[in-house]
Amino acid sequence: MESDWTLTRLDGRDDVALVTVELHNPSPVDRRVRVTNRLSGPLLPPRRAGVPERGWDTDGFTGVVPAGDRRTLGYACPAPDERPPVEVRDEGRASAAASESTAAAAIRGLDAARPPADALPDASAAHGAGTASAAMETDAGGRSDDEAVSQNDDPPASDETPSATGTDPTVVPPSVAAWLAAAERRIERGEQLTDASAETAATALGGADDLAALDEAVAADAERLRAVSARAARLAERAAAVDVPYTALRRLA
Amino acid sequence: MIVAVAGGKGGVGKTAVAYNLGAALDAVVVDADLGMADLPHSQGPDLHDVLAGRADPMEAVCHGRVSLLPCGRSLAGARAADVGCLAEALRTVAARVGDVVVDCPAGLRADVGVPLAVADACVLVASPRRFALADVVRTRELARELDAGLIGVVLNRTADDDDVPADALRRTLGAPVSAVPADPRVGRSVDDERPVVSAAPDSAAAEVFRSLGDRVRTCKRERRGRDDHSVNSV
Repeated sequence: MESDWTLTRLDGRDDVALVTVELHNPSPVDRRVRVTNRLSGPLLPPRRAGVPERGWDTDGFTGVVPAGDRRTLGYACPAPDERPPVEVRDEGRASAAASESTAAAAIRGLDAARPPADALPDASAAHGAGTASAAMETDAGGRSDDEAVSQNDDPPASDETPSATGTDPTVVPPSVAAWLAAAERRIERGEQLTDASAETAATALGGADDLAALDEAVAADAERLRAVSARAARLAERAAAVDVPYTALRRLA
Repeated sequence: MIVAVAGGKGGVGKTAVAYNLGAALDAVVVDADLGMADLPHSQGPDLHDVLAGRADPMEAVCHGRVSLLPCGRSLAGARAADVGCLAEALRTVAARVGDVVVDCPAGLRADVGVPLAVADACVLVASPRRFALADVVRTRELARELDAGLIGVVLNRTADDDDVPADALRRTLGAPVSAVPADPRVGRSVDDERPVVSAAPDSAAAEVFRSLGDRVRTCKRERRGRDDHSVNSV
């Protein structure tokens, strides 16, 4: 068994090593091989649907390299360099295929069964229910909500007190407030970048790749806000014109 | 022994079959429908909690006329549940109580695949309507791929005028096909917690579930014999 390895660093993350191993089996029979990680950190294998690909375990990889063929493996490991990063052991002629955990194969091969994060009810709605089970659900949902929040930096909608919407006419519903706050943040960021000096732009930029997306999002915000404002103005006018003749109606009833 | 009750199409009566088969076997019935649970749920931890690492599988088992491991109803719970832990949870319950019947969800996603992969055998449920038959054949293929032997096929809620292609189905699926005639007591059995094997022991449905239970036991004996044999030969 001939083997060759490379060790590189993950872009922007000097603490994570990317290891590739190329295996070549020049012999005329299939051979089983064991590749063991020698780096000091935990091995992060390639995964599908959250489950490690076939052959990977916590220390390395076991698999078959077909006769006269090549096989390339790769994994990540948060650890300092060490050379060589792997130990490759030829375990001789491959016998019948070893059985693998079919539950893992089922998860890899079939579609995920989890409902999408977008389908989750608002965390504040669950708070309103106030039962023990609702509290537990919020707890569980909180974790997945965190993912969504970190993506678009929206504040959790539960900051608003839902009861206030009923009494104070100037407080808008929490979902509307959250939407406006998110739009405001995008617009502020866009304003920082409009006519900005190089330094301001550099500080305002997290990553350069999302600029086009930001521009599009702000343009969409502008259109949506104008539409909402026009509709809101029309509704406010109509609302002001409403004059229910309740005393006359009560007499009728 | 772990028996998965699957069937592809929703609404064909998988839950009623799983519940009544569980009663015939004196097994724990696990509601593995993580997104749309059916079995009755009371207070206490459920399968969502087990799969999110918040509860031990045995803690979530409710003992009643039929022992159940119910599943939570919330989308948040379904999202937090890791289907990868389902295999271990089912094995834990089976190791502690003996027999486990898993009520699988509809469809062919990972939450059906994992119970089929862990199960020693499976029972497929189909409605005698033609549209449901294609799905049961697909589920059969998945079970075959995941090494879950087929113990039997239940054609649920047959009526006298149904033209059931039982022979063709038996040939296609390679397992005995038994018909459960439409009987309101089967449909009500889950909600009322009154399995037909005890509530209506003379009914045709009870007879089907008893014989299905017998086939599971035979299969279990055969497996045990085979395992002993292979241990001896090593």
